[in-house]
Amino acid sequence: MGRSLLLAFVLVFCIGANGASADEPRPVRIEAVGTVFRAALSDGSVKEGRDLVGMVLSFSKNGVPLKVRIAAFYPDPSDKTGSVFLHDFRIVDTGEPLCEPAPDGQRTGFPLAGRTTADNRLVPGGPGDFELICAGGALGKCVRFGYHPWETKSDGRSMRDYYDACARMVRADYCGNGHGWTRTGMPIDIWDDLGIQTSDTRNDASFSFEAGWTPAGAVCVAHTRVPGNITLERLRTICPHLSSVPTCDETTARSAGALLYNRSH
Amino acid sequence: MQSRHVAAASAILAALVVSVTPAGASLTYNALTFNALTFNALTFNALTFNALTFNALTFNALTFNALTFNALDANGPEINRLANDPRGSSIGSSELTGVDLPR
Repeated sequence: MGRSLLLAFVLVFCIGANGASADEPRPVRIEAVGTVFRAALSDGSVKEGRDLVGMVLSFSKNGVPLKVRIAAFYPDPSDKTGSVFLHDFRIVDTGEPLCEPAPDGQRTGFPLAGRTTADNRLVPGGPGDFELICAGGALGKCVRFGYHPWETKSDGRSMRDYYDACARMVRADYCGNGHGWTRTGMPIDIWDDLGIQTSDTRNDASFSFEAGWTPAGAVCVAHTRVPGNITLERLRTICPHLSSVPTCDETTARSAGALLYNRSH
Repeated sequence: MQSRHVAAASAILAALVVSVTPAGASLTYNALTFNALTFNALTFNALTFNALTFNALTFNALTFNALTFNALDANGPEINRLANDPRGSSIGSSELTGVDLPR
């Protein structure tokens, strides 16, 4: 709590001390709401989303300064919920996009409230905590899949659990310790019991059930995605709990608490 | 009821076979007919199979393209300038030092 307050104070101080002249409203607080930035200004007004195109965020990463400008802002064309917005983040010094291309070619990202722990879980963090997420990375993909961590299901469960489970799945982080065992470009077919994602490969024999997933990693693994990276036998020695479900399929994974499931080659 | 129909059909078939078999060429006719029917059936099956396969493949391909930008996973860095960040992400508010609003 103390650290959060200190961070919030430093953030507000830094934002207030930067930039605008005395007669212009200054940002006193900036936060992420969904996938959108919202800035509260010193005159009491609020700017968000498209109004913040052109905003420059100054960071210091390990002592290295990095300025990022929001060059464009638009709704994610693949999002059916209307709640995901993509930002064209540009590095001010070079004009280059901050993000690598996603598989659909997008070099975009968005802010997400909270902070990511060392073992890759999203936690709420303090007031105003956010991270920049690139659409092409595992975290960005999971938001674009429809697992919106800022939402709550009708039964009160946070969608953050689904988002975290998705991030484990995309990275093949079976053990839930932040170590991914996949390789970029491996096709996976994902689905869940909420109907947010449905399986596309039920009739494709080249895909088979890989694992069921929770925020803590896999509950069981039928086969590893990239045996060249790790075999099932080796994985079970590293993560003994994966042997507790002898036969891993959708039914047993569900019984073990899985939120998401996937198939792979 | 059903077995009676089958029995009646069998009787008619037997009569037909009896009536055409002595004519000699009728065997050829039957064979040709059979072959033609078989061919048609095979053709139909092949076409059907191809059509179904095509549709299935097309559907899968479209689905793959539409949804699987998505289903291609990634173990790479979230942000290219932070390739060694073990979190796979990210830069965020804890590194934020200032904000300039658009004018």
